[in-house]
Amino acid sequence: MIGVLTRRRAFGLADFWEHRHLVYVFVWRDLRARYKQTLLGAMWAVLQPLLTMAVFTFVFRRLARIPSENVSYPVFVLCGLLPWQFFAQAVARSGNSLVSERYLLTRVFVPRVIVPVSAVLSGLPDLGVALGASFGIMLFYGVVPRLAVLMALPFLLLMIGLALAVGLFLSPLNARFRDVSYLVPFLIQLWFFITPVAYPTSLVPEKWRSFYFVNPIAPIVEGFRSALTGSGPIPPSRIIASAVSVSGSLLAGFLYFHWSEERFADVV
Amino acid sequence: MNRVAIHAVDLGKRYAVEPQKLRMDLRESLAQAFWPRLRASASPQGTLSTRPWPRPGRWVLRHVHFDVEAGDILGILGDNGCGKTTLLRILARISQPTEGHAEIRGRVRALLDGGAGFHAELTGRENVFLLASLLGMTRSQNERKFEAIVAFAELEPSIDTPLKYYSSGMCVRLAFAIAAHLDTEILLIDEVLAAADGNYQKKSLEKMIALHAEGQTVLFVSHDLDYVRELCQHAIVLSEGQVAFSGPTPEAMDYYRSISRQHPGQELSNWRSQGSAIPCVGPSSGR
Repeated sequence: MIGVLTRRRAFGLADFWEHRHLVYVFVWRDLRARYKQTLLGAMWAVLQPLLTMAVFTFVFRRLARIPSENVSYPVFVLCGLLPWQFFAQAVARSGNSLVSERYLLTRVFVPRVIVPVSAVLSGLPDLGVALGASFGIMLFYGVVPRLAVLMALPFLLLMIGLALAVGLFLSPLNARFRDVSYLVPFLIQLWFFITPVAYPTSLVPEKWRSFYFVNPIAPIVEGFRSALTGSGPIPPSRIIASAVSVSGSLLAGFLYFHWSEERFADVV
Repeated sequence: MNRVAIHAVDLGKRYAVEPQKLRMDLRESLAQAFWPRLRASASPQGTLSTRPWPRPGRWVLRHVHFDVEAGDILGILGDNGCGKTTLLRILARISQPTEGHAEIRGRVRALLDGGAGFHAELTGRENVFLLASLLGMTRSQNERKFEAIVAFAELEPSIDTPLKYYSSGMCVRLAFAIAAHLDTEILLIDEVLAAADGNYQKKSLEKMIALHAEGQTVLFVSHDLDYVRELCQHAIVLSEGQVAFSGPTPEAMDYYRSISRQHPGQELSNWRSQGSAIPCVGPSSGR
């Protein structure tokens, strides 16, 4: 086994594949460490969407009288919050990942792309726990999950892909310009308002709607919710459009990450 | 004739600019991206940001040639900032050389720091799995060697305590114990033992001699000349990013003493007792 180390020897797909078990190691570490020294532990994964649901129901339903299509508003908003909170946390975590792991990255050899990838995936168990609890809430409101729930899976994949794509752009940028770590929470907050989490898409005027779905997470959140609540079919064209744009941005993200890795390898 | 494990040819590493200037702010960078001519004409001298890539930089390693024979223990001597750690980082693939190349025969594992890879909130047991995996150990190897690692680190009583309650010496003991059980072909050890007590240092030395007997190639960076003398047949002396001397250890040590910026009277081996300022666990990846 002869390895030659040169300037051009950047990390490629082969390195990622060879070290893929590290994704598991990072996710495992994050899960182990996440709720250490907390009273409620993994309950937080359930409490966050539930408490947000309660507040939103009060604000948007009681005060603002926002309609919720054909399910009751708490279920409606909960099924939008689950994918949204996963997405928002995945973007925030992966965007910061290279910077928060800089101590490790400058002392242990890890193909860098492993770091944002595992940052996105480490949110999945939280989502799983929250989903389990949500089924209870849905039953309480008389929404019985049917087999159509499985339709949420492709949307979950799209969500993972999109969060990773954003993370692949943000994390090297953040390594270079710390401005990004101030920008991201702000960006996510704004992004929330152009995403149909607390309100249905039907509220968006018809003439703006094609613009509205330029936001790649909008159809994903909506599709995920429709699958969970079984409310209305999802136009396949929208799934395909979403899949195309997600794969495109994912590819661009990987290329950008690779490019910046070669160029700014020593800047973390 | 022995095989060559590491063959370094004209290795050089240049950092783009001084670290504090490296992170120019976003505004400057955007301005450069959108209005390169404007910026250039505004400052005809060419500020840092308007100069074409590659920027002027500082060479921390230059024209480094050396060979390490398989099964050898090579000591690397040099003052702070002479490029020792940069050299190990290149060999460990953590950073890329700016010029030249190195041919490596065999798997390389590196322990460059007593605490990198550990997570403060996790227990000693969890951290063994964590660091061992990061350093390339499979899960089954890890299960097989866990007992031996803990026994070697002498941490059986506190292995289920979160690492944040460990002293830096305990962290280093655990880290070294993992590195010593990696079953690799080439092991790079940066100055990590300084925080451990004398007994453990002695034990580590014996362990490295045992690894050597098993045929591992070891590159060993230390300020502690006693260890280098006991452990290494050959040593190289780095000075200002260049290999200033390469040869048998006694001569290398004499040479190092003659160029070291330490006061001639100061006993170098006293460095051991001063310990080191290496933080036990890096800024924990706070979530």
